[in-house]
Amino acid sequence: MLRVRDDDAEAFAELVMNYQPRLQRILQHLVGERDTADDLVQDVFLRVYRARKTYVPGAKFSTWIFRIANNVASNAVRDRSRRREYQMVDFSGSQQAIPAMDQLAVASSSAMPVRRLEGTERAEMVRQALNSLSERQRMALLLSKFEGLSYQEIADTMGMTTKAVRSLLSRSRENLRQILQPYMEHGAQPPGEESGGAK
Amino acid sequence: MKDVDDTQEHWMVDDHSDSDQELLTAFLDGELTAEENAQLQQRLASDPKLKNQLESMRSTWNMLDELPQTPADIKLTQTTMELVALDIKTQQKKRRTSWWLFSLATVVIGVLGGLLLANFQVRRERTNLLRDLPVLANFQVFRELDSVDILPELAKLKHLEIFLKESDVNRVRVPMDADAREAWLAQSTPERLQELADVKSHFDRLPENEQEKLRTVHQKIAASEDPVQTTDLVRAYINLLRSLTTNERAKLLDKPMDQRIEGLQGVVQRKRVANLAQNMTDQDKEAFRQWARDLLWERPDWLMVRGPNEGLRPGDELRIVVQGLFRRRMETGGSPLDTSEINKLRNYLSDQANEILDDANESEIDFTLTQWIFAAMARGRLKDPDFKELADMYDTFSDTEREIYDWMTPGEAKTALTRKYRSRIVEDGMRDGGRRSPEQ
Repeated sequence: MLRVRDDDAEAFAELVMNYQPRLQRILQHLVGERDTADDLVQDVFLRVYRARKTYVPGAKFSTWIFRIANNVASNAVRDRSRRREYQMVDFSGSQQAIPAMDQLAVASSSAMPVRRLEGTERAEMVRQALNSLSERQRMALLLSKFEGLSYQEIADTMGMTTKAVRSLLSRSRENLRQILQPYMEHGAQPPGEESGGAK
Repeated sequence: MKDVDDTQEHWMVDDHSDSDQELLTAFLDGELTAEENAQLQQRLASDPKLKNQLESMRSTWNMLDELPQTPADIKLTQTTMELVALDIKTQQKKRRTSWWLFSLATVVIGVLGGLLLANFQVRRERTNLLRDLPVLANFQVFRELDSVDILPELAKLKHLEIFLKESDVNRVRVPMDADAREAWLAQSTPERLQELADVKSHFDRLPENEQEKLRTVHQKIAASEDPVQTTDLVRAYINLLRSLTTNERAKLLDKPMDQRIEGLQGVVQRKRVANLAQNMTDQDKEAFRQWARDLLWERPDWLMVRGPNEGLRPGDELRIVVQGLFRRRMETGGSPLDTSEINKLRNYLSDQANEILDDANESEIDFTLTQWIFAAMARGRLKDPDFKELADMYDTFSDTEREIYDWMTPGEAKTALTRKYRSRIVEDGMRDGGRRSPEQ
């Protein structure tokens, strides 16, 4: 990043190469749509470039860039809510996410025709479960799961205390567990299906 | 905002806290202290319910691996770099920005190539860029090349390199070795990268067959015995064609190859003659003067054309000799200079001048020497104090402008330069807003 700060084009290109897929994954899970996520990824890099001179040596770059990503995503979600242009996945809190969770739980339970979910369906199930979490829970969870950030780093990124991060992650894991529990119980060994194949 | 969020999170923690759940989460995330870790391990060993909860949480966590990976999106990377470059351009509007624009684009290609070798598209783009670098570096010249058939013939043209301009000689050359081009590109100056970016933009807009034609030119050059020299010769050849009028050029290019080469050699020879006339050394100027003195010693009658009270001023010798030569030619016909006169002159001339004369055929020698004599005469005459202001103006002319006057007799030159001098005064007066009258 120091090279980027000193206007090294190659360094900036490397930076984009390194972080683009990671930002794409996180932002896509945060805003739900690939195209929007791509726009946000570009927005993040634009902000990184514009703010490159303000980067302080010693600060962890991943924390810095994910904080920008967090802000960009939050703004996008807020703007989207304000404009009501999209049908939103729920970002407002776990309590309002309950209907979605219930739906998922029912959909993946024995109340539905019993069959083993295929890989893409499993992925879709997990994705929907993730979308049922609040924006903050999702962000913390994604940073922890996919970026391997410590509680302290997540706290720095999201502007929280480590204690709040610990609590946030705990609740996000629990919410996920609740919604995916039926699938885990039935999807792995679905009645009437041959064993093997399902994870 | 941070305070509100934190408050909210703490409120939620308080409301929904589950110490075991948090403990297990922190355990799975490796965030427990050694002491906390040991205590939890003990509990897990004795509490199956807690262990089940842990396994359930771990399974849920692992299920997140089901989420599709986001593959590297090269297109997005490129558009991101372009977007940033555009942003810089918009914001700064400096030349440096343009460097970034191209630098980013090339770096993207390079870095993508380096980091994502598995990606065919990127590899192809990078390969194409490196392959086309010599074409881009010689883009305009290659475009003006009428046919690749001329390439092997260029080496037959003697002294074609005199058509190379300073910019051709000093240009940065793209390595012929394809493997060295990447390093070359990395070491290029921002200005050079900017030039290449502009050219590449132009090149990319050409139809595919046009692009292929230019690549073929490079391939032929690369296959020649000395590709670097051949590239220089191509540049010189194009400069030569540019120096011709449209008609001369068309006539030359219509000729069969052997006649074309002959015609081209004639153009090269004329250029050499003109170059020497325009940049005549003091040695050659003095050679003509000395030669004129010798001739006047042999032909005192030529001095008789002068008025009885007219003194011989420095530089007049050559003018008197020229008048005598022309008068003789009008009286006797034939060449203005005979062989012995030519040989005497050549004894005084520089090696460079003699070399040019060696390459000239019989009929060209008269023409060549006449041109040089006039040049020597015109420049010598302009050194005269009476012509000082005109001479000063002459010094400000380009070689092309000077050539016009070099071909005139001293009298014609004086008249023409005086006219030019007056018109300049008029122009200067107009530029000064009429403060000066044309007469001034």
